[in-house]
Amino acid sequence: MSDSTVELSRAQWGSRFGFLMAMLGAMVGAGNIWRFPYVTGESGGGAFILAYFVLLLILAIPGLIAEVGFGRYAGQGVIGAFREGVSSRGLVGLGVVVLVVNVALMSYYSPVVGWTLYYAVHALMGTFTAGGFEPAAFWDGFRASAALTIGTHTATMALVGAVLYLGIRRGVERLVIYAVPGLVLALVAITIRALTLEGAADGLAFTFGVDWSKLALGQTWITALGQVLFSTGLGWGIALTVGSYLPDYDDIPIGGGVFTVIGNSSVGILAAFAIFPIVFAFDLDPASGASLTFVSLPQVFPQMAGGLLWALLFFVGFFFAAFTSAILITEVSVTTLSEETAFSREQTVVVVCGAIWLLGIPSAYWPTVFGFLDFVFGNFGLPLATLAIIGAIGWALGPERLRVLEINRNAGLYVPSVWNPLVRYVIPLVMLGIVANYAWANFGTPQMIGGVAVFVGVPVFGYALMSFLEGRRDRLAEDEAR
Amino acid sequence: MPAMLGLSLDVWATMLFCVVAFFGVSIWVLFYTLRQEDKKLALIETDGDLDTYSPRALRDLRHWIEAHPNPAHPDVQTARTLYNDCVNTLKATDRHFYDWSAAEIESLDTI
Repeated sequence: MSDSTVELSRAQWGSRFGFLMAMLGAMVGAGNIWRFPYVTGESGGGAFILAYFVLLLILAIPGLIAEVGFGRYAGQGVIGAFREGVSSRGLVGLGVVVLVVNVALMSYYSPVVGWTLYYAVHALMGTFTAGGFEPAAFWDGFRASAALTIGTHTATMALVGAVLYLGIRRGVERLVIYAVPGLVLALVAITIRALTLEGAADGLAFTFGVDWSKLALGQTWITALGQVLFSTGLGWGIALTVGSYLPDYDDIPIGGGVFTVIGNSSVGILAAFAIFPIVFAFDLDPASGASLTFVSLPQVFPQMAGGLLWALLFFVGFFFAAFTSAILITEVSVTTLSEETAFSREQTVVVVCGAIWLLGIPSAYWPTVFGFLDFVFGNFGLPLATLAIIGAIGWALGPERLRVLEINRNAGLYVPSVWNPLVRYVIPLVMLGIVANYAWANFGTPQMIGGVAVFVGVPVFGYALMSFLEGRRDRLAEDEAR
Repeated sequence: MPAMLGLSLDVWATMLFCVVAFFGVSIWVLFYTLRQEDKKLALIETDGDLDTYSPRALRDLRHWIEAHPNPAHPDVQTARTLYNDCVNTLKATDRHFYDWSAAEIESLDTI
């Protein structure tokens, strides 16, 4: 099969807007809505935002440009991309690392999307504004019911599978071009209402007040680093996969880098404007994370004029944020496995979604399993995937090669050579530093042991697996050639 | 709303920074990149081809090719093709996506 036939047979984004919304939809998730505003307020407000902004510019934007560029350069999913980028058979196993981390991440993220689905459906039914509604009892009842938690997890994976089954253009793109603007519009509408509440100013003062002394604290910068690297989804394989569907004439630095990073952060800032004035106007605890969303805010909507509408906008928007991320996280495995196996894309969707559904049942049922996996894969697995991708670009493929051949081709923004050391040295060192910090802070705990086991064990597994499979593949190719 | 007026200057300054640096940049970049795509599509429709590198980016590509003379390198042939395609397009078309001067185009040669 000729190269041109391969290219023609692979789907591409139908429009620039579709690609941009896919990147944004993938990166904007639950964390933007409940975590970012709180972390900002706790870590120095304006001073934290400044630190965060600087790190976005020097780490997240260059990193995402590299990952999207690698995806388009290879024109394949994660394992195929590593095959293009590294010279050793075993190192192709770094693609397996990214795949394992994505599947594990999605296995416990799907139940969370299920929570948002459950609340979105109840918002549509008007449950939160009905008389006698008890938010805490409603939440506890939901979490205690295996039928509901596993049922919503099942519904989530069925919906994810349905969208992915339709393909990149008819499924993913068609969803994100409506869902992402819908989320932003919902947050804008809530912001307008929230800013007119009595006491809203306290929420703004909490989030945006400036404590310059926090800039001198190492912890502020570590927190900002964590927020930058985790909220932008750098190195998870999503940007690589989305980039692999990017047409040749399209730009990478602006769409894949600047817009994705600043747009994603803008949603976090917008959430701060939308949610925290409500939190302070109704005297809620800003540090309560998930329960802020599922227990505290539902108390507030009935007290607001037009509460049914605001609850609907908030929970449907929240579901969109979580669901679009779930779609793109799962797409990483679907793209890769449909290329690496004899299954069609449709068969792969069924297999991948079925496997994630099965693996996600323990997280849906037992909160302790969910908490353990979230800690292990959130703090060790995701940085490992980032190290695998950025390490492969920086040390195997070479950043200069990627920059001149792919990133600056048809670019809307010239990427200078100063980008090379950022990708080769700075991002990997920062990721290693973050992992070491987590390991040190939780030294000896089961979570830390589990995290280190993942950090060491998954690459060894990937290396051994791909050494075997690639060797077999080469032998088969030689036999065919003879 | 009157309480908003009581917010301190640093809160207002941070909010203004966020509006400009995040919302402003996002919206501007979104429209800028969509306009660029329209321009590219228009060029492809009218001229049938598109210059793929800016002057600086094409210089970088040439330097990379010159630094990798080994034809066995996996990307050398691709790089030469990309370079030559861009040069040929620049010479064959009147309107360009990037800011190329006539003198710059005149000085280009294929590799």
